[in-house]
Amino acid sequence: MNIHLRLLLLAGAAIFFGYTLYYIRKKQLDLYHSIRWFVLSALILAMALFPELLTVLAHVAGIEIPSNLVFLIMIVYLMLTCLSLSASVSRQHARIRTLVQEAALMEKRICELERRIKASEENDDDIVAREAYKDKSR
Amino acid sequence: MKEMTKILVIVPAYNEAAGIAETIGEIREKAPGTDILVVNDGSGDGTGRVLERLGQMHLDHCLNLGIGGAVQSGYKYAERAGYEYAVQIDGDGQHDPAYIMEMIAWMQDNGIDMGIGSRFLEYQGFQSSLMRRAGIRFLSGLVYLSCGVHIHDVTSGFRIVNRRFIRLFAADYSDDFPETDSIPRVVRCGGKVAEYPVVMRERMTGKSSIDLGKSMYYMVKVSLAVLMNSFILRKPADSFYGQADGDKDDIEA
Repeated sequence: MNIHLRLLLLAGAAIFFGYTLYYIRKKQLDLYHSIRWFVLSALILAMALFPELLTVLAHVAGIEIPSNLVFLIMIVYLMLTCLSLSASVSRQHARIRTLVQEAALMEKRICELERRIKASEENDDDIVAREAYKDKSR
Repeated sequence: MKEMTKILVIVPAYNEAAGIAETIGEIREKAPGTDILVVNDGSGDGTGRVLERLGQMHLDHCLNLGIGGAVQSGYKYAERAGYEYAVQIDGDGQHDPAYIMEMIAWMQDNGIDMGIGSRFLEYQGFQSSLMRRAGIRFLSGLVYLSCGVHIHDVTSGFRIVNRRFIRLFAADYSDDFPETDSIPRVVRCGGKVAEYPVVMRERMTGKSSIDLGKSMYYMVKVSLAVLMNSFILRKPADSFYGQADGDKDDIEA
């Protein structure tokens, strides 16, 4: 693996690492999700620093050019990431659904309570008015 | 039929402002003694205002969840308010509420847990297009393979479930196109599912939620839902799986 690709990988690792930190700092990335991207940075860094490892792995996997193994590793990692993000979206979806449903059920209860309170207040007013009328007529 | 049976008619409505009043009126007229709950699923056409004006009992979703989410809200309400039967009926006038009472009597007499109003038992009324019927037949076969119960009109949205399965659906119901894959689920939970012949009408308002573009997705999604049914690990919903014996107390209370 030539020095150009290694430098490129090094730069890539630095950019990913920097971006991950940036989002964490701005509180736009949960630590839970950041781990995935830290691991990715570390993976890229490892490939840049220890190309011999890549050469050996490529040989074992029957891949002629080690740089192709870099692509393979990246693609598999990204595919796994996408899958787990899909799962995460599904979970969010289920939660939103429950929230919307519970909010609707709650709103109905509140409306009923309001109606009942209003009715009983009107009732109270009636009683007060009647009592006052009785007092006067006495 | 006993007089005191508490029945909730769930009417999911999405942008049905034009026809909802008529649907509700028809249910009130043809199925007296039932409570009607319209689930306004985030409509943008003032369906909510129409319901308010009619003084109709309803739930308002602040977002559109789709038919499954809307109906499930109805089941959740039915569960909490202690209804013994929940009827699911479309808001567009396809289903004739005149069948509700006779279907419930039929369910009680035959110990049926989920009754499905089927248009393919006597082949009367609106029969839907050839392609759609072929699709339904395929899904019906799939349902048979998955749970061994032969249901013709698996996609029918006209259905009635008893208290036990109100609990199941309140806890666990598919998001979109939930009709078909709920059948094997009920069977797997030990429920008895059967069809009752009804005559369906062509929808009075609105249009089918399934147009040509969506039908491929529909078939794939529903087939997958049926096939995956036994594969999915379901969290034991406390409200359903644990309380089969508690049913009676609840109803009496």
